[in-house]
Amino acid sequence: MPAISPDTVVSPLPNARKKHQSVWQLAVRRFMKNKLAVVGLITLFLIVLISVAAPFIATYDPNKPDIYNIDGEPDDQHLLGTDDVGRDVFARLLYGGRISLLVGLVSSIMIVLIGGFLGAIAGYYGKWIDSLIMRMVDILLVLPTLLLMLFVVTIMQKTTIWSLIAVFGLTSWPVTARLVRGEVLSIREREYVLSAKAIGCSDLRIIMKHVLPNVLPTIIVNATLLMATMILAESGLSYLGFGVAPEITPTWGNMLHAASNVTVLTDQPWLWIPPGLMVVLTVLSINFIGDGLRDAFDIKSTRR
Amino acid sequence: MGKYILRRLLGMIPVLFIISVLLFSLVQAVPGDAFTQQLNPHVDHKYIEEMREKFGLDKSPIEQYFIWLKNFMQGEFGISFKNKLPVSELISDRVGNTVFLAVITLIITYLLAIPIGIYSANRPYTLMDNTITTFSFIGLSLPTFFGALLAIYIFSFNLEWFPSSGTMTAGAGYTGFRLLLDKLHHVILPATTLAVLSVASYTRYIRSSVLEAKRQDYVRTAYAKGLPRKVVMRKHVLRNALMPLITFFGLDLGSLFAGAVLTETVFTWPGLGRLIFESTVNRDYPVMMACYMIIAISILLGNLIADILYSKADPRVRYD
Repeated sequence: MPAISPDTVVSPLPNARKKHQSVWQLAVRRFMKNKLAVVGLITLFLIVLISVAAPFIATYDPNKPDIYNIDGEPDDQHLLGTDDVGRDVFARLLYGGRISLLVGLVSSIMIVLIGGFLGAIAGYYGKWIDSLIMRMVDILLVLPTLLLMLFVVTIMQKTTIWSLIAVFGLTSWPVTARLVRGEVLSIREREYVLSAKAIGCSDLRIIMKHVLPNVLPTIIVNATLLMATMILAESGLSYLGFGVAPEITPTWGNMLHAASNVTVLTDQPWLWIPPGLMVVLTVLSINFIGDGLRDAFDIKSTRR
Repeated sequence: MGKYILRRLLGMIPVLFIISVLLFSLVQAVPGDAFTQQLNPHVDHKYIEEMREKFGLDKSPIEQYFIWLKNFMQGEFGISFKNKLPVSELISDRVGNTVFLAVITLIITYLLAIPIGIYSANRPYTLMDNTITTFSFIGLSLPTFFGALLAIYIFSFNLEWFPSSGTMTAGAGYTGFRLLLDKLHHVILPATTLAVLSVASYTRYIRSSVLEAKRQDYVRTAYAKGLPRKVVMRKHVLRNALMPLITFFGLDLGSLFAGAVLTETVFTWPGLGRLIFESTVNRDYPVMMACYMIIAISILLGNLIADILYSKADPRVRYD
């Protein structure tokens, strides 16, 4: 270690930035060594790719019924057959991925924004703000999230993609808020925050520059795992018939809803097994990625 | 301890009050009421008015809430809009089934997860351990209802090993031991599919917990003073590693009543979860309110039991 020269004392910034970068580089290197995580990343990339490229892969319109070809079995025209109004199941599977992934991505971002914001101000300001937010968390956590979602969805007359995302965001933020609050509480007491305060930094600047970068790894891991949970939630609610209506747009969840019909369940497995497997595959790869990120950032694991 | 429990019980009252206000206002936010859908030229307008009056829907929302609250405190959960039966009757018909399913699920979970988790932790990063880890991940990623659908497709319809719905063979008139066997035969499939998720998460938890306990200094000390491996495992490693499970037991106990909306729906299992699904479809708010409140109460009590059990098991934790 070199002796401290006046130079380093005057300009600690370049040094700090270098170190800051290396934390992330270290994380990337550790992540890349984790085989399951890399496999998960590649699989998820492929799933996103075929969903985005759906118009180029699918040869049929996913929403166009063909009354002359209802309940068709899989053949070389319709790879996965047709459903009860004659829509091509393969095309619906590809397009359905778009919605399921979109719902998962947008709602997990929304949850992280709401939960992160509330958790950060609760942890940073403490006092009555903290008590108020944490009581809200306690109350929302009493009911299982799926039941809470179900209750809120009932009061809506028609579920659309965006109302579904809103419901997910409004019901699922408490766990994230609690997580972020805990992190912020411990960061708030560190010396660098104290010195930032001493030289007169505003609260906003301290939160943005000193607190947030340190909470980011936790938030990233949480957001990843939330995306998996939200895709599961979409499929569950849609299976019960409370998700986005199949006429509006196909999702993996509302395709699975077909299996609530016993004839479909027993005689037409090609209608419901493929979307189910896509959900499993997507959630599995996201979970692998999330676990890899957690190890890479060296965050203590919690019960899951 | 008694004081602590009392304080916690009193603390539940405001939480439950706020939850009930929250749920009640959500119900009120819905345009129209349970009888709006029945409004059509074929139904006498007077009849609808009468029904509204009968269920107290003509009063102001605040008045309605306090009437509901007063009745709820007296154990009167109201009358179902849908089939005009007392809600308490509907619920007591279902609770037994949900508890039976949940208890069998818990038994399966503990029987599988504890040995698998310990086995895995004793051979970390071997082929067997990696296989178990991968399967746990699959278990965590499998939507429970999709697992249930697959189970029905494979084990009920193709192999015909287990029935796909109900809690017992209708009209068979079994009694005693034969009835128990019949019920077990029906519960195995839903319980196993429900257990997949919890086995996966418990296995992962136990594995990392045991691994961590094995790294502790007191374990090395125990080996150093010459204790045999079995004794070290039983007395030092497992005792410490499995202690948190007691907390989980309390939490699981609390969520017993929360039921499994999805699994019960797939298997048409007449439990609380299925009742919640049915009442949600029919917008049968008295039933929904009662179910959600019972679930909230049981979860709060479960949290309390978890904390009490933990302080009993771990002398380092004290409440006063």
